Amino acid sequence: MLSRIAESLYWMGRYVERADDTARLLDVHVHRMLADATDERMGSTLIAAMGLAGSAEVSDVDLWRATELLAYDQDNPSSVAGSLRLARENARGLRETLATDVWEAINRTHHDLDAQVRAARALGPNLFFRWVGERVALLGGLIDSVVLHDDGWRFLTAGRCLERVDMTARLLAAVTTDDDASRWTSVLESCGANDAFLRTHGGEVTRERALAFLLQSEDLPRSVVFALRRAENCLAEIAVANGSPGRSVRVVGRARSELTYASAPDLVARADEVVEGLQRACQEVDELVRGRYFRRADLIEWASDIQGVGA
Amino acid sequence: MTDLFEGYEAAPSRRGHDEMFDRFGRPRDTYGIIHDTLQPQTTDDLQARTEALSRAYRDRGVTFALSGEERPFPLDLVPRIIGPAEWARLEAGIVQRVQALEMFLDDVYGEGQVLEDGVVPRRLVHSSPHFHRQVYGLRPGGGVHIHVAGIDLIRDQEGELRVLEDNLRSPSGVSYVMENRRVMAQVFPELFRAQSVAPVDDYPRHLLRALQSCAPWAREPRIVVLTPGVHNSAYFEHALLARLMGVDLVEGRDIICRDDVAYVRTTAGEERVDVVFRRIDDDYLDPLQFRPDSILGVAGLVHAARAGNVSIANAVGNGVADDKLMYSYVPDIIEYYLGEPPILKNVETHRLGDPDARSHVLSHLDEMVVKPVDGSGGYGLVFGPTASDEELASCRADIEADPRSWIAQPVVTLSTAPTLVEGRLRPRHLDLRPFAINDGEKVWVLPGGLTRVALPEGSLVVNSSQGGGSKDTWVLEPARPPAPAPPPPPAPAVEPERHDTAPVPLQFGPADEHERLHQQQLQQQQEGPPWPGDSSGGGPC
Repeated sequence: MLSRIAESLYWMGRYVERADDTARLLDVHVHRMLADATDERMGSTLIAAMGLAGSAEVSDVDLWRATELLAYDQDNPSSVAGSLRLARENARGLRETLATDVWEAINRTHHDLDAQVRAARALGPNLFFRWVGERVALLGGLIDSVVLHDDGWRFLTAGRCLERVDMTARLLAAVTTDDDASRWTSVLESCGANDAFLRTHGGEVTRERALAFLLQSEDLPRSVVFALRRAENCLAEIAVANGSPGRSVRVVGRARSELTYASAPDLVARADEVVEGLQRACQEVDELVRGRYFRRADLIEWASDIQGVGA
Repeated sequence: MTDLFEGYEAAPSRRGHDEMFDRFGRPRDTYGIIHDTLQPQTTDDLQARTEALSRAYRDRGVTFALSGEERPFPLDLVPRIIGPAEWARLEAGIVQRVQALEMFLDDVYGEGQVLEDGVVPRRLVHSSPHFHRQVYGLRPGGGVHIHVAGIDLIRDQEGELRVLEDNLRSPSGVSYVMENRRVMAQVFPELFRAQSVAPVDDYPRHLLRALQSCAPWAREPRIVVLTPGVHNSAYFEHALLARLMGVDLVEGRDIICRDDVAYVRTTAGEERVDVVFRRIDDDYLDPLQFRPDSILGVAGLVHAARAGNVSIANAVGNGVADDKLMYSYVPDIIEYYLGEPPILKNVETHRLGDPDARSHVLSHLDEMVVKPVDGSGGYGLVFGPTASDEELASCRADIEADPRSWIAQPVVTLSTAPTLVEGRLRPRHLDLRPFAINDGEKVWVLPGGLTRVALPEGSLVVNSSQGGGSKDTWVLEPARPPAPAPPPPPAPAVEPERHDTAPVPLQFGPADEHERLHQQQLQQQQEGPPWPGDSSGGGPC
């Protein structure tokens, strides 16, 4: 398949997932704030979790400003609204490849975005986060049920899964040291895993159990191991169809097996290191995938700008 | 813009005590932030939030059926607030009351010392329809009778909170407390911004611990929530509690008792049950002991409990301690067992079996509320001030025919609080039901409780089937010490380590190039500038 198409599918998958996960991340923080109105560092924690720390513009913001920035600001590419916009930008070039239903769903999401943001500004962010969750669930369902499961779908799915790993790691990075059971309940909720957790472990939420569940559970569709396994399968199938197994598969596979075979107490003890390692692994895989499949000529401008050449 | 509070003070039901405003019409300290947040809101804002609230409740199935139609449980947008000092007193009073009632139940189903000492007439206990001989001498697992209690409180004209009723059987409503908070935080987050509100989501954890500690065996007991079934009005609550505790929700037909051991039927065969958190009345619990026609219960459950193989929570027969007549003895019961005066007062109650009280009540019948001793849910209640002459006459005859079956209380004007009615805030009457959990060692009280509101003007009836709603109930946490010195020191120790490595940035696709391409592709298709005078896409400069 065309590199350009593959690349767009991959990024559409990543952005769609990023919109969902960022909304979930924000939802937890808004709720944490409600439980503890006095924690002023939360806005900064959040900005740091999104890898945005350091720029002057975003330092020292409170949670409400951070929500504005990370939820509604369409010009900020790492916001929920920005991710949805980028997902649509990518989908636009895929109209003949994507199933009509998927394109329509993503396009409608785009057109409803302004109205949803307006309503959320008036009535609080939760409505917006829920709407995003529902739209992304719809998209995910369509992607899995009406799109041909060929290499294109595998790129899309690999993108979704990698993004899920990366974002789950970021979400956990913000709370790893927290010992408060009710906060872990909200972390589980934000990962859509609370009911599953209660069915598995009963009502006793502890940091160790929650952390291990979100990282290691083989049965939880939103766990890191689950997403890594799926990404690994997709990348492996793509690699085989395109000649040879690739290094990206190895990186994902290693990250997965390190999690799978770690003991829960060990994982918890090294939580910070583990979640950062996951983010680095995602970054590495991303570079490898780009390098191998999306190689593209740089946009060539037959420049009239002679001076540039001359100098 | 009209003020949402306009006309509030002049409303006819604005008599007695108001929760938000003092008698000079100034907002009380505890309500300052809420008042200031609400004031600038418009009717449309609040209406939109109310709709969001109803939608959330309908989606989550927090509904009750009214003439066959599913209606969202009405939740008012204005929270009810309890300050830290008042809560501390309330909490102590509830703990005291539950402890005394627990000891009372243990006593009347055991040695009966309290009857021996004449604190409570023996005849009264033994003639109560809720005194179940079937469990006489049965010491429940963990020694606890009252695992959960709901104590109904009202605030009188002087602003004092008084106990109206104890609910020791299976008090319901706690699910609304948790759901109200969750939904309020979603649709009105601004309200929470400037103050610390005690969280309510600890309830299932405390309940689970209490149920575990009353199990006949300590190691990994199997706990089930026993519900009458999906058509019960409190089914939502049963499902919520089971889900949050991570235990199975069962119906009577899922359990069988054999050789005094209870089992649930599972796909892997029968599995032993250790604790039954039942939400079925005594009468229906066990057809071998109580109503033989009950198809909701479990045959043989009481026997299994007597054999010590299963714990039933709440214990069977608690009703003897929470009927209306026993209520009037609770202050004495507290004094007797704990040797201390009751912290929370009762509403003044006349036992009509007593001749002096009877003659007093009969001569002031039009100022009294007369209640049957073993009625509940408002059944058989005669409300003096609004009753017709015939009703009063027949009430008088009933009392004279069987004085012991009746009690009378003076009419208490319930306190009011601002409630959104047709786009304005209006005073409406309310009560409060805090919930307590007893794990055998200590009694824990959920901060706040369920505040029920009577929505019709002037009404004192807070039942949801009769137009009642509820409010999110906040217990404010005491202001924290201004300088929390300890937290900063550990932070530097951890943080440099975490910041050693730069945070991993998010990755982005080639978006910029996309945009430049799109721009050019767009220009390609244009025959000329989109409108005269626009030359941005034009020739070389």
